[in-house]
Amino acid sequence: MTNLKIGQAPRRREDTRFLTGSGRYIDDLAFDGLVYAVVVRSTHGHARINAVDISDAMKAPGVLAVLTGVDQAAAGIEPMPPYERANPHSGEAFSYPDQYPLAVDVARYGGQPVALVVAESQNQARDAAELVSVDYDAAPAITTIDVAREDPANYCLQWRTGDDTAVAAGMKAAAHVTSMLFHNHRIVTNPMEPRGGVGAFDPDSRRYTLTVSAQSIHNARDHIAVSLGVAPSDVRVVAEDVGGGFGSKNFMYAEQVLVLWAARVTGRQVKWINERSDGFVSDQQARDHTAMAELALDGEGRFLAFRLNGCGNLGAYLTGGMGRLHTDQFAALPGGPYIIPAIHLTVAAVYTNTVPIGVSRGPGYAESSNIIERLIDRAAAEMQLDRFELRRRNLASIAPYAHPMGLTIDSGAYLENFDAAVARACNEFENRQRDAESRGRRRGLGVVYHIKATFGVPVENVELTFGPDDHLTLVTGTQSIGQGHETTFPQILSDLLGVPFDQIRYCDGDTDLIPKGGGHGSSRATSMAGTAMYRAVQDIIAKGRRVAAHALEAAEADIEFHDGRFQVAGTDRDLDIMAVAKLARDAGEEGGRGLDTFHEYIREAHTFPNGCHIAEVEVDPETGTVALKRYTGADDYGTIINPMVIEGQVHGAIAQGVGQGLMERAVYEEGSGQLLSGSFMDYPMPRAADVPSFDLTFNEIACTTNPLGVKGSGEGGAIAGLPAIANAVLDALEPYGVTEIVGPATPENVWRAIQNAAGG
Amino acid sequence: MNTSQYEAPGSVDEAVALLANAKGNARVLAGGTDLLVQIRMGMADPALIVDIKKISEMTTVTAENGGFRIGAAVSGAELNENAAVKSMWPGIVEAMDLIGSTQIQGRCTLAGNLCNASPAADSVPAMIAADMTCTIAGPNGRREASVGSIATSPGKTSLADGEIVVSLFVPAQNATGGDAYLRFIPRTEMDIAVVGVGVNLTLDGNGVCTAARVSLGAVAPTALLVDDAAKALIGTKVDDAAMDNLAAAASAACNPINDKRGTIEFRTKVAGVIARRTAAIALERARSN
Ligand SMILES: Cc1cc2nc3c(=O)[nH]c(=O)nc-3n(C[C@H](O)[C@H](O)[C@H](O)COP(=O)(O)OP(=O)(O)OC[C@H]3O[C@@H](n4cnc5c(N)ncnc54)[C@H](O)[C@@H]3O)c2cc1C
Repeated sequence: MTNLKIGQAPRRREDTRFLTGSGRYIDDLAFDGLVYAVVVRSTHGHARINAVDISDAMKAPGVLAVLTGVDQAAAGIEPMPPYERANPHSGEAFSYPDQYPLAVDVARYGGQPVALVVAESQNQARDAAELVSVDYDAAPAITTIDVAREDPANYCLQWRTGDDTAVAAGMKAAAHVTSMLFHNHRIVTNPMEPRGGVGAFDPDSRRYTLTVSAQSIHNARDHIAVSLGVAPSDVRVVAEDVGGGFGSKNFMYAEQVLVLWAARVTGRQVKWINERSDGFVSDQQARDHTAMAELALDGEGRFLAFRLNGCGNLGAYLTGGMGRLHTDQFAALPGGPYIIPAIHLTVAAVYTNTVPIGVSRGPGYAESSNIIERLIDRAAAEMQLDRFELRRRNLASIAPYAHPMGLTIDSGAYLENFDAAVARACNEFENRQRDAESRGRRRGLGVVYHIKATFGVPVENVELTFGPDDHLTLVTGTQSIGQGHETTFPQILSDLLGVPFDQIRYCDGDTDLIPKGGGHGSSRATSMAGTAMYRAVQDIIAKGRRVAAHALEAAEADIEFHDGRFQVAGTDRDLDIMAVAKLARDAGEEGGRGLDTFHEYIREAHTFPNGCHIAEVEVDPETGTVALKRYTGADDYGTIINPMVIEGQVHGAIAQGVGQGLMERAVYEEGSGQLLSGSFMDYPMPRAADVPSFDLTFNEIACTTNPLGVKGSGEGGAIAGLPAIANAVLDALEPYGVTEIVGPATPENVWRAIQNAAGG
Repeated sequence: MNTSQYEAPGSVDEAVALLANAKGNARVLAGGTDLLVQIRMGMADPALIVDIKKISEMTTVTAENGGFRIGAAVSGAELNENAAVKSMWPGIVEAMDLIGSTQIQGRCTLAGNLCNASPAADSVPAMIAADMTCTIAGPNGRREASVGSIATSPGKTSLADGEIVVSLFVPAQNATGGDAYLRFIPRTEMDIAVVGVGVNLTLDGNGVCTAARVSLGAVAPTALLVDDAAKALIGTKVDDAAMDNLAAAASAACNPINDKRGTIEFRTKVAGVIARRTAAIALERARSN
């Protein structure tokens, strides 16, 4: 029965469940009268659909329904709306094709749902799915941004922002301009738990219930309702344990609408679980962004101007908030934490015949950080300046810092973090380098300063209820999908309210429990829900003081609150908060709600997690093998609620970032649009042996714009990983004259870069 | 998966009889780490599965003529725990140990690796370099064959219908011999070899190489025994020049395919690099023997 404080590191409550196999993931849940759905997916990257013949499938054993694009029109199913339909800055509407849950007339990517087969058993559904015969006319598929850009019809958005004139002047005045082309290659996020869901329809209330593995369920509910043609209040979305999402479960999906529709058609509860091979061709993928960037420097290496012309591959459709990703996140902090007086951006996004792009840890910032950090190394090489010193010279050392693109960064200690990371990472580097050389290997260091502005849904709410059993229950619209909120949120409340940790219950993941919810995304949960909790607690204390004053026969002004007790100042007369809650409830205070409090917080400012990450790699030039030997980080995630949880977040993010840097890449065949890397045989992901133990420190510079002082901690490593690896590999290969590495630093890619440099 | 008949006989004769009388397609099951995956993926659909793990002759390692006879159902983990085999033939044991993960090691076998006939099978180049043979039982009795003669093309073997590999025999290592196996994979673990090299060499009192066998995996439809690579070492002190010749001979012997794991050019070059590194380990072992 202990109270916990912010800053302590209790073990995660939820881990007992996860580690003993008692997690409640979608495929673990029991439902009555369940039937099974299998999605028939387009086998072509681009094709006209002439006909979908379901006659054989309908005759197969156990089949209850086969739904197609034709049935969809008759059933009144509407297209799935993008969450953001216009540029938030210019108001200009995004151009996008209608995306129905099932393809109508044309399949625009390989993997697009074409039909849904529902049967009594999963195997029956699988067998019947093979009997659905689709008559396609294959058409040429466009997979790359460069080809898509040739036709104006492929554009979703084009937007120019920043100060063009100032940039032109800066370029003109510059002693040196470094320019570079970029392709931030595409990744498949692959959360451990595949996507899946169970649809139910209650004919009496005419309400739909979707139980799902997803990470932002209120948003999903609202948009699923649009596609079903009903009001959001007619849809309930529930998520229990979710085995990771990393962004790929942020936005709604076709299958979620389909199982609800199928439940209505069949009168049964309909379950669909993606196979891993479904996931590769249907989970929203990420990155895939090209850019041309120019950095102007004066003779001392001070940055004068930055021009960035970027274009994103959206895949076949505009999903969720992707339009906003390009116009907000990507455009928020170009140039990162470095002072650049003049910035101009051209932002564009195009459609291709590939799996739709969504978000994955650090979206937008991963692209922009990669650009500036790679450019700085290139500029240092061209100007023969030290790349560490070049960064020091330009890092913003003032807080608050008004970024030229509009955001004000409230706090940060960039130079301090930079110097701390560099000191540890560079310590005895020359010795390790010499040792590597004696073994025919090359060592290199890659330094990156990552920063992001946490975005996500700008509203969050919490409900705090004092139960009759001396428990405090928190209901939140954020969602824990493995991050540890079940531990850290009660920890915050235990500290603020002095209620023992074990007496605090945590609830999330049900749209019927709380009116709003931004779920999980953009490292928003602790700053958003934390602020809502903090403010709710202030209300509770104010109400409690009134009740306690009455009960203790003292003036309200004389009641102090500390460590869970309301006390008459200067006396030993006090009341425990649970007792006050009971008094308030019994007295019918606050319209019978007693101390129970709901608070809705609308975001007042972003938080700016940041830090310096340095990768040290060893390259085997004969085989091109790159080994990540050391990884050093000095990060600022503001006030730390639970250091163990933060470390876990940072470890995972680094693994994801270096995964993209070292091995991960989704590859499509031009022309056919087939995903060539559609399984783990062809798409590697980092494993324990691929990463060293990380050397991390945390500089707790409290955020000044939220009462807990927290900054989002989920993404730094995923932003820093790719450029840190690329810069380190190029540093190692500098003697070979290698100046560029395209895509992940796989053995063959690195080996080829060495051969090409040698060949001239 | 269709309903297959599963049998776990207690003797080789029973196993051979079961296979001989099988109606339709019958398969031997050792560790199952290839076979069960193939069945699950719909690539194999045997009517009869004959599990050999209950046959004592096939689950033991015994000393024989200074070398060892290794039962066809002995797992990688068991082999790895056999100190005698490991000290005489570290290359073979290390090659076997590279297969899969801890879980796979508890099941996978040398014979399964051989009979699955993947060009990239890790233990096969090491076994060929060690000049291993196997004992095969079939409807017409027993016969001996060299390990190198088993795989004929990817997924195909020289075993006749109803034949089972009963055991593998590794001869005594020369007093001043050493073996080694290295593979190159694009990932750090759990991946299919882009190239695998087994080297076994013997030195005389002056450090001159008197015998050598070099085998390459994953660069041709079956594992290769590369005579030119061996010749590059024999008669030399395995100095840099000999190593260069070895690397060149290994590269020249390659006949790989272009695929997502590696282009022909890369595989060919890396084969030479890995051959050289493997030979260096074998040399070190021979010198310290
Ligand atoms: C996750 C994973 C990782 C792997 N990693 C590797 C790796 O790194 N390197 C590698 O080389 N392989 C690897 N493999 C493949 C496999 O584990 C090996 O080929 C293994 O040695 C097969 O042995 P087994 O006993 O399991 O064979 P089984 O699956 O039992 O049999 C394989 C084939 O040989 C036949 N067979 C088996 N025993 C006999 C016998 N005595 N006589 C006649 N025919 C027989 C079977 O009928 C079948 O066709 C991996 C497999 C998995 C699932």
